[in-house]
Amino acid sequence: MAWSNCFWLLTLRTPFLFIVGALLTGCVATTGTKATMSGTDLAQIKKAGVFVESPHQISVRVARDNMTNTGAVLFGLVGAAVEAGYKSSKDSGHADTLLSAVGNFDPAHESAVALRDRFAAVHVFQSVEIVASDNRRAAESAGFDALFQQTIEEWGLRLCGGEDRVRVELDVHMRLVTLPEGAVKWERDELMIDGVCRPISEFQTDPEVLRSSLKSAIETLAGRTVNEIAFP
Amino acid sequence: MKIVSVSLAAILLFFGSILGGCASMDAHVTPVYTVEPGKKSPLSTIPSLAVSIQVEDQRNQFELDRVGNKKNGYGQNMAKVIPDKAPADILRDALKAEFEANNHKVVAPEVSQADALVKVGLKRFWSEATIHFFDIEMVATLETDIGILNGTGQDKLSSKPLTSTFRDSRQYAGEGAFEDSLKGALLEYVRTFSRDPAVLDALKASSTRK
Repeated sequence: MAWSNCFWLLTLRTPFLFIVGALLTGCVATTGTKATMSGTDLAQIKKAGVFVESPHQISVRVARDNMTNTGAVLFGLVGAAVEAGYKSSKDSGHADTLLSAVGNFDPAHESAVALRDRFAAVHVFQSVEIVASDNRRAAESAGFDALFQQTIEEWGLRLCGGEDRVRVELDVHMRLVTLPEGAVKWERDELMIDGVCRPISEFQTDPEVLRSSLKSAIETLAGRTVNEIAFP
Repeated sequence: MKIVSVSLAAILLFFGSILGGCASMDAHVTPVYTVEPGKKSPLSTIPSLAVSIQVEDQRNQFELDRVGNKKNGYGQNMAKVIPDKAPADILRDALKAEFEANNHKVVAPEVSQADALVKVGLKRFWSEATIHFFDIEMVATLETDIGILNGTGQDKLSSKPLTSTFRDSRQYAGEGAFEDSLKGALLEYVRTFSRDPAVLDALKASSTRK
């Protein structure tokens, strides 16, 4: 067979490599500890800064966790998209009703305080302070050896049973970087579901229930996180 | 051009058969927790205890015979994901391994010399695959209610729900994906249990009352 007749093989190489590549990409864990610290690394950090940010408002996942797939079965991808959109809008409505109950509760501030207190209680570092930004240069000039950064990607309530029973959810990304080089020495993603399952109406009608549940989850997460760093 | 089309169809059929797998056949999984040699958790900071562990299966009646469902592209259930060992035993063995790796002794619940009794109500042990546009997301959860009692008596030191969730993103989700995600949830659960401040405080209280 002449070489020119094998041209189709070359033509197929790209889609073939694409499919094989996709299969070989394997899996990527989106929760769990990505990088752990050795005891030596930990001992080198004397003064650490804690920076927490929470870019989003409270979120509710009830309708989205209750997808029926009816739309997909009846109308394929378009049906699935319509159902997802409807459920997302319904959850936004639930979240809006919680805004007044949340009031001035600031998960980033609460978490920063809880982390600082836990780090200090367990004596992981000699000194721990809350910092206002994650600017490494500013932190280094203030004498910090490391920055503990936490981003609260999602916080609020998540379906836990029945049609409308929910409990607290915290979806966070955390990392500890050393200064001045910015090397990531410890990194973890965590989806934390905490507290007692209650009807969503209890959280809507009693702001104290919502705030105390959120605060308790944040404090528990801080305790676990500090223990996770101290015992890699 | 015709050869190209036929060959492309053959390749797609080949990969389609791999990806399709046996969606209508039950999957069997064995999620187990293995302690990393030499690794210690905060449990090791508590003076050595004799601990009893009781795990009661309190899962939803519709989930008692499985730990997940294999689904088709439309989200319809096609087959069961069946554990080769009872989930309550899987959880009890995982906690036992963690206690023993951290210098504690695990004794049978009927032994009266236990310093602490860990009672676990297993509410859910479940793995699910969700198909997105670019990937398949595997989510596994292990939900429990735990109570820690002083000795084998009724003096409750701590009681709380304890849940772990594990997520990963894949291009292909076969039977191994269910097992891996359940293992991930079990590992996260044990880490959560052994690092939870309320659990540690309760066990410390048990050791001081010895």
